[in-house]
Amino acid sequence: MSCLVRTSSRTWLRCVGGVQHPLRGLFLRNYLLQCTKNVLPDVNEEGASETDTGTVRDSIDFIHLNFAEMNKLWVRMQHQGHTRDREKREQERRELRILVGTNLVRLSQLEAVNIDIFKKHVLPGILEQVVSCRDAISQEYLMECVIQVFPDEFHLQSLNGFLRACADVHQDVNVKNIIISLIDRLAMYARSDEGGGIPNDMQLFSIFSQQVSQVIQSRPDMPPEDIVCLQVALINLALHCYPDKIEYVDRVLENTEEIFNRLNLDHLESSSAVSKELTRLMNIPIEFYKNILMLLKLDHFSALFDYFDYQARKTMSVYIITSALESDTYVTMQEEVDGILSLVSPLVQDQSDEPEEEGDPEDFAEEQGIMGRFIHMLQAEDCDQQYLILNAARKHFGAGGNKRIRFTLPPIIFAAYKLAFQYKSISETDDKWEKKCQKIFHFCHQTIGALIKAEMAELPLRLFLQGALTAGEISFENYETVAYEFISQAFSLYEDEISDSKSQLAAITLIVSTVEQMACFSEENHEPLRTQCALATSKLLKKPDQCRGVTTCTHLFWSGKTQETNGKEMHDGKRVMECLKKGLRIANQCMDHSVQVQLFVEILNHYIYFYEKSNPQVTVQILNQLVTKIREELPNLDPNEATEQINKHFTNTLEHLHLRQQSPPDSGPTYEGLEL
Amino acid sequence: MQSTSYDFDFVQVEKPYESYTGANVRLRYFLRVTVVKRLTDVVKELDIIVHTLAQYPDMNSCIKMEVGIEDCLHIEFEYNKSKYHLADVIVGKIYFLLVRIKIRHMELQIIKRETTGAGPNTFNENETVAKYEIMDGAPVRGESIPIRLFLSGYELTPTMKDINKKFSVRYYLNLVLVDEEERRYFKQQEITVFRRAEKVRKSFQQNTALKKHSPQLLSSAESRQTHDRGDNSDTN
Repeated sequence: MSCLVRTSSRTWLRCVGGVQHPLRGLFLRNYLLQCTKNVLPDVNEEGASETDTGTVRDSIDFIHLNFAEMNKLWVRMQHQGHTRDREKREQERRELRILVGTNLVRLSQLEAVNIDIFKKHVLPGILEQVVSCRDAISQEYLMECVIQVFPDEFHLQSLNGFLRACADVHQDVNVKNIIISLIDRLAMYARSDEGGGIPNDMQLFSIFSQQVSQVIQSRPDMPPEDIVCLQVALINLALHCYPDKIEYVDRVLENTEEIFNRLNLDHLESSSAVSKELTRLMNIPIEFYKNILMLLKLDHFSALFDYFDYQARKTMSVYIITSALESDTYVTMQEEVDGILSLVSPLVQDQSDEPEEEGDPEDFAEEQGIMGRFIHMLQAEDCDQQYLILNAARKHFGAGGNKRIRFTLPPIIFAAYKLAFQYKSISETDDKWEKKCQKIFHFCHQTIGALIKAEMAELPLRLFLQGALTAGEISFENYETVAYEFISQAFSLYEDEISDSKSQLAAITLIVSTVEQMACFSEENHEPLRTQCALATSKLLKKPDQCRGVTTCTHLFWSGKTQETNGKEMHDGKRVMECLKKGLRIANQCMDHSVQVQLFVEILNHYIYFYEKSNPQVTVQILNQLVTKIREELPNLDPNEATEQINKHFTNTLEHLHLRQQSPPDSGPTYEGLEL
Repeated sequence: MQSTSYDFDFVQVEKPYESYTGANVRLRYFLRVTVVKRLTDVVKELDIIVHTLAQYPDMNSCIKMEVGIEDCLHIEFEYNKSKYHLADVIVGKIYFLLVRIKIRHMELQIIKRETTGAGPNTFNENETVAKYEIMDGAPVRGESIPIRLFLSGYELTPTMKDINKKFSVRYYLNLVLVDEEERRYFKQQEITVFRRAEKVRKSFQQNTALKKHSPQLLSSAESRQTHDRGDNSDTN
């Protein structure tokens, strides 16, 4: 039967040779292929019966022949007709490619083809034809086709042959795409469950690595972005097939570096294709490991960094740091801190190739904000190491210039304060903890000093206050002196550097509240501080600011704490009353009626607060007077939004009083005699 | 009226030639019955088709030749035989050695040449009895184009040479290539066509004997012929 098939199929093949018209020939042969679909034998030598029904080899030969003829016809189209129609013709050819590709599909459908037959017969036949036709369109498509139609197991076993053919194809063929799609496929296969991975004895990575370098060498005209693209595929392969072999990843990077070196590439412009590809290449390990510390283990990662221009290095750095933030990568060793911060130096320090004009300030703030967040990822397991880490970070960031340190030093200072608390918590096991705390505060003092040198005032002021609070909480040796020093530093900043009245009020309010909170001072230190606060507030420029400042100071005298009071509030009712009266006096001096009434309402609230705190100096009469006064003044105000606000504030206050009057608390003063 | 039949029998009548109807020549055998009457005779004729079995060729070599136009087109063609019977298949191939012209298609023609008269009055009549495209499109160097031409579909006669010193019928295979500018390139080769005894297969005969006329049947019909007064064999 198949003897007949064999001879007749050969006859068919010969007969269709009469159609030399490419288009008609392609369709005719395609039709022949379809017609023979169910006739071609698909059994192995062992499976063939004695009467010679033919074997799959006959089918392979048949399809190979037909494939070769079709490919010839297809290639011939390229050389017929006018040169001016070339594009149209190539388009036409692309539309016809599936006709040729069907041969390969048909080959892949032969079930009797096993790895051995594929390797010995099927693939060599195809590759021979593909390579010898020397036509770029054909080669590109058919190589891709081979990758797609045959199973992964086959590819794995015949890699060398296929890749060698890749090196032999026409210069115009985008061989990069072919290799990449093969690598991607095998990488995916290695990951899939059914694949069962790559056989152990198979040096998949080495094979690809070698063949890729050969392809690159055989094509001196290959654009660098394509070369990098190949490396991208390789690195993907290395990561997905050999996730524990970090040296493979490094080798890809090393090869890339060598190539760049050879091509004499440097300062790749960030908008160029090769820079984009290189970014892609380097993002892959970041993305894959989700741990930037792994990058430090790649010897050639940072070396490749230097091939970027400033912009690209910066983008890359942002990507690295963002990755650390997103995947919660904590940096626990000083060396790692040094490594990472050197790597992302475009974000840390000025660069020699930094452009003259400044970038978008919002972008800059965002980048530096990310760095600020990153500092909180610097967390050693023990305190001493953490101190080293912070010192290292301080050195790196300290060189960042005035525009950067305002973003990066504060987090370091906060981390240092946090470390001081940690030392306190291990005070029982570390007998030198007090010395270490002192060192930390010294470190912070210096660091804040750097910010002052960078002509900042408000920020260092707040950091000093925070330091004072921290020192006050941690009662180490000399802590009072340290706290006092920090507050006095804040004061001198307030006096020397802050001139804007709004900022002044905000700053002095902060100072007041800090002093109010702290309990570490002896009367000897506390007294000048609170007096100084009161003095400073009364010296504010604007009357409303003065009024508010002075009334705020009341709390210093009421709930302020000293060593002498044993951490209890001092309740100096007389001084409180003095401050409130002073506030009222200042309010009376206000020219703006609306503001004046607003201040009255605020002062009323202060009075009520202290009345309820049982300050004997505050009486119902005083409250009555103030309420009456406000009642008189309120109607004279122009009805507007501000007035409405004041009104509301006042009504709420009265309502509170009313409620208290109705249902007085179990203890504390009552509002007897209050006239509402 | 009563029908009467008269037996007749011509013994051993020579019929040396095959019946033939051509453009300018006709060779026929017929029976003519003449009933002689007083005023006009009644004459009836009946044609008899005669097929002659040719001698089978002893030698039947293939036709193979390289032809071409210098620096333009070189081909090699091959026909598997030089002598074909009427239901034969011409198998062959054309091999392109050099192609510098854009060929559009290639066809194989069978030309029948009927020659009548003699000497200065010789007259040739050419008729293309078959046109068969064997290639479509432009081949390149190295292509081999197959030929398979089945003769049974065409109305051919055997090759006849100098029949009764009056006429000849010869056949030629004409290979024609046409290029894109409609220029034609051709090469003619004479072939001999002969009649072969039809193969008699038993099963085939039983089923189709009545439907299909084989030479044997025809020749026996001849002897069954009735009505006679005279016979004539004649060539025009």
